[in-house]
Amino acid sequence: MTSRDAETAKRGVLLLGVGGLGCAAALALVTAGVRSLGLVDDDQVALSNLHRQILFRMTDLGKNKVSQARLRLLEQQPDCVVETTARRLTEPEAIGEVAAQYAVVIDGTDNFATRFAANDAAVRHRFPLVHGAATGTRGQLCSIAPGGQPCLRCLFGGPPVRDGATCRNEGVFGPLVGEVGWLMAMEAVKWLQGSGQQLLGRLLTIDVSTAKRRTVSWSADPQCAVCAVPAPLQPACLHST
Amino acid sequence: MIFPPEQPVRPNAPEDAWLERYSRQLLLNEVGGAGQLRLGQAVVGILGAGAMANPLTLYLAAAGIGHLEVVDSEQAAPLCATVRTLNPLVQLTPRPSPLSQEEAAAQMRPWHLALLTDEPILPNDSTSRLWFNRAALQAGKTLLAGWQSGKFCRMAISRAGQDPHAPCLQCAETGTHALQTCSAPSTTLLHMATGLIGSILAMEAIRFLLDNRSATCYDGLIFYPAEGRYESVPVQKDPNCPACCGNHHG
Repeated sequence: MTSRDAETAKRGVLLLGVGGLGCAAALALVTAGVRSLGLVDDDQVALSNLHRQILFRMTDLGKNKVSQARLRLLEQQPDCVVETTARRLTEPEAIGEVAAQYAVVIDGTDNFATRFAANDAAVRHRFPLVHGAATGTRGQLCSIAPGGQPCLRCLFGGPPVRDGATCRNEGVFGPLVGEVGWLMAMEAVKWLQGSGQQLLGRLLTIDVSTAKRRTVSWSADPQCAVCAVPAPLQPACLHST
Repeated sequence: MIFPPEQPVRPNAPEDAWLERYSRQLLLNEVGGAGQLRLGQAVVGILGAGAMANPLTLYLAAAGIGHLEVVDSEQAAPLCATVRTLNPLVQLTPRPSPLSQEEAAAQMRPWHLALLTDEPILPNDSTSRLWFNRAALQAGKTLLAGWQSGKFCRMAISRAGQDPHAPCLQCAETGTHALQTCSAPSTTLLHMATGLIGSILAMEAIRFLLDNRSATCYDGLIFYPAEGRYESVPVQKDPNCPACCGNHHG
């Protein structure tokens, strides 16, 4: 990256995962005029992806998602800068390192372990994060402010012991993924522009089987293992050590 | 991630490709094999080919709607060409913008559902929604529409073409006043919201074709881009509606 590219990227959006959510969010961002994107995914395009991952075509089957998504985004907007990382980032440190080059991160990954790793990275490395998920007929999204308070762990605690529903075992409606992906891109633009109200401490939930769209509020957990500010040490504590 | 196939791969069997392509949708109780076949037999018309029609057409083609007709004299052909490369199982036909209401109604007759996007496909954009509303009534078709209205985006359905007791788009426009106050979104957010409404139209179209209708289909939906908030708006039939309560049946 040249220094000018690095400067452009600093104003851009990093997408963790280029699946259904990542494809929709990337397309929405590029058509909205965002000119710098980072794409992270280690997967290849499969036929079963095409019912919801709308950046991919038949000719992309078997190829790396990040490279094919980059090609498609450049077709849309030739003056875009799209950096690709064909790896899977699962640790908060690794996520934080890549995220440092971007203004905001969109997490469109498909498993709880990575979602909480992204959350922990956003708290520790202080970057804004847009969380989102969609399986079956339900979707959800929210923003996490740099440093959290509240963060995803204040709401859910931590990842479940067994990974829950995924698109592979439960299925999903493609346009529902599109709706959540588009909303995530709009959250990212709110962070970039400093305009509108982010979904902070507000989880937007969508159930397309009942057509109910609701917002659930939550607040920071003072005992949160990740984002709680440690209480100042009391003199008694100092004496006892 | 690539996971090992559960059965030996037979790359030339078309049924396998069909099962694989729609596997994540076939798993849904709302779809299943029968639902997927139903989607494959559906003919859906999309009026307009711009920012809202783009994700709408992509998601409907990806879901395997059998035949999509896109109406726009200039932009329909390139949109159809792009979407064909996504799913060759779907037939995509570009159609010219209609020049009269009779022509619009004639175009709609083979469709199971008409989808109206927020694009200026008529010279007088401000009246195009009500113009197509009348064409759908004339053709006896259900019309699902999304549009931008000041600081927010809206979606509503006209079922009056098939059910005389149901409201039409004009009832929805004149009958809803109780809107929440909202702040003005940036032009970028407002533009992005049209793509969002395109995705929601695709979802509601699929639900309509599968016959699992519910609130969104019958009520109007409002989205406030600055707040990231939705509002469901009940729509009642206006007994004095000049579009659906006049003598349009002749």
